[in-house]
Amino acid sequence: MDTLEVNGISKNFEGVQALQNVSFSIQNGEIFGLIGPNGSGKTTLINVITGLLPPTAGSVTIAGHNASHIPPYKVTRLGLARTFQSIRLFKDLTVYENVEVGYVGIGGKRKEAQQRSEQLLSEIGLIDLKDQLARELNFAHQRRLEIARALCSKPKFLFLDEPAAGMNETETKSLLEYLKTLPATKNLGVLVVDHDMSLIMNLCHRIHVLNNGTTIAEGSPEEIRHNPQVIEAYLGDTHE
Amino acid sequence: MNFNIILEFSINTLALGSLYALISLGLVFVFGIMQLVNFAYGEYIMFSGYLLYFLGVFTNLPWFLVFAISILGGAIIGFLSELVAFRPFRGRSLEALFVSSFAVSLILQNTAVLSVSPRSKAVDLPAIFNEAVQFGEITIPIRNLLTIAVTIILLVGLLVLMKKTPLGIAMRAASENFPAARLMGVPANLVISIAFIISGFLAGVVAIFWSARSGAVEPMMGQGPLLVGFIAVVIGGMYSLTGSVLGGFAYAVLANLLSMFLPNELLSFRDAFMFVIVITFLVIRPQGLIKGTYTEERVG
Repeated sequence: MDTLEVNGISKNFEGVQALQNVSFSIQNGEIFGLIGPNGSGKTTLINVITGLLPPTAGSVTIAGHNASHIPPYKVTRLGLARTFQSIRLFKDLTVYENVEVGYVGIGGKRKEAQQRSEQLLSEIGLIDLKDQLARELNFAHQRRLEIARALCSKPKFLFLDEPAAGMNETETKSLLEYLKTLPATKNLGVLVVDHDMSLIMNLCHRIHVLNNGTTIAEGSPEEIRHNPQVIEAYLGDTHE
Repeated sequence: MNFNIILEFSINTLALGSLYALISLGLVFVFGIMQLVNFAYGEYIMFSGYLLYFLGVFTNLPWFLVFAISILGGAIIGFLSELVAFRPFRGRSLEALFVSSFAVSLILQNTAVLSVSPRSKAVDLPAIFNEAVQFGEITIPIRNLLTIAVTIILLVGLLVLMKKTPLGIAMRAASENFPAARLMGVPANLVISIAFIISGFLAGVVAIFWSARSGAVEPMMGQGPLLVGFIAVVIGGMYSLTGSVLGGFAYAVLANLLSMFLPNELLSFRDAFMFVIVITFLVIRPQGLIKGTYTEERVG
């Protein structure tokens, strides 16, 4: 079974320790949440995992392959696809072409890219919009399109960065229903980072909590909800 | 004004526009991906021009081979200059890339001055480049018809490449949002190398028609097309391939119209009129004819 492993990651920025010995692993088939207050090191950790930053110490492996100290595109090619908190679609490409980039980006053939895109767009409910430019889509559709694009690379792990930010309640609800099906239907593990507590609690099987660059808790939503350290660090003093 | 003059004017303007469109496309391919205005682009043209000169004068190779090698030479110099002069500075400051492109430009110019001659050298092109055809009352240089035909073929080829192939889609994605494309698995080095190869390839094609117009090559010959390319790209829109093609044609139309209608005593100020019009246009529409999309983030 495939595993994404984060082993003892530390990261210093010219003397400032942003992350200290953070470890966790995500299994194929589960939805794993990463939370923490602002400045807790979440973003740094994400950048390390996706290959944008090299760790000062520790390593990341994806399905047994080393994924640290290699360029971001190679991390993607090892099977980690992602979406972005601030949507980064290719706005002047069509909806269809955007999804195709997910597959041709990792070196896939055009024909297969077309089949996959077709399939994914039907699944995610954007097939009728496939010839529109991405810039013409509404916000919720853009978020969905990013997920379709990420899935097109057939990832082993899908990383969702605030997947429902800016969506209304109905849109969020239907998105969550879809996301919950992914581990089984796509045979992958999901890593979700979000500020929205109820979304994380609702969606994730396991949750990892960071504060000041270190791990303060990991467990099921129920355990996290009642963990005194988490309450103090995160749930207690903010209303997010 | 009679019909013949209009027809002749249109065909010749179309030919000039084709050439300008190819020039600006070559600039925009690199700019789109790296946000780098490549000052060495003119020297890619010059380099190919000198290949034409050497192969034409000192060998007996058939013409199609001379052309093929010159164009290939342009693609290779584009590829190599990126490897040597741009890749080491990538992800640092844009200014470093900028200065580096000046350096490549100066080094290539001076290499031509020192190793060949500062003076111009006549190129030996096939006779067809200096012939003209007669349609009724109008005379059209065959060179102009060739320019149009080659441009159409290249534009269709590039269109197919960019719209239909995996590489093309990846390149369009990268030129719109480079960091996101990289995170989708697109290798930065590959896309950038391809952009420079296409840029150099276009420079090689431009070299043939540009030197055919003057009949000679010289070390500074890249500066003219470089300036044309800048203006055309600015008119057309810096972030759009289509825009750069339109800009090339717009520039040619404007230049030829001015040449036709300016009174003789003002003709030597044609470029001044030209720039006034361009500047006025940019005040009204600073984004150019086609806006295009880009992200502020640079190649990191």
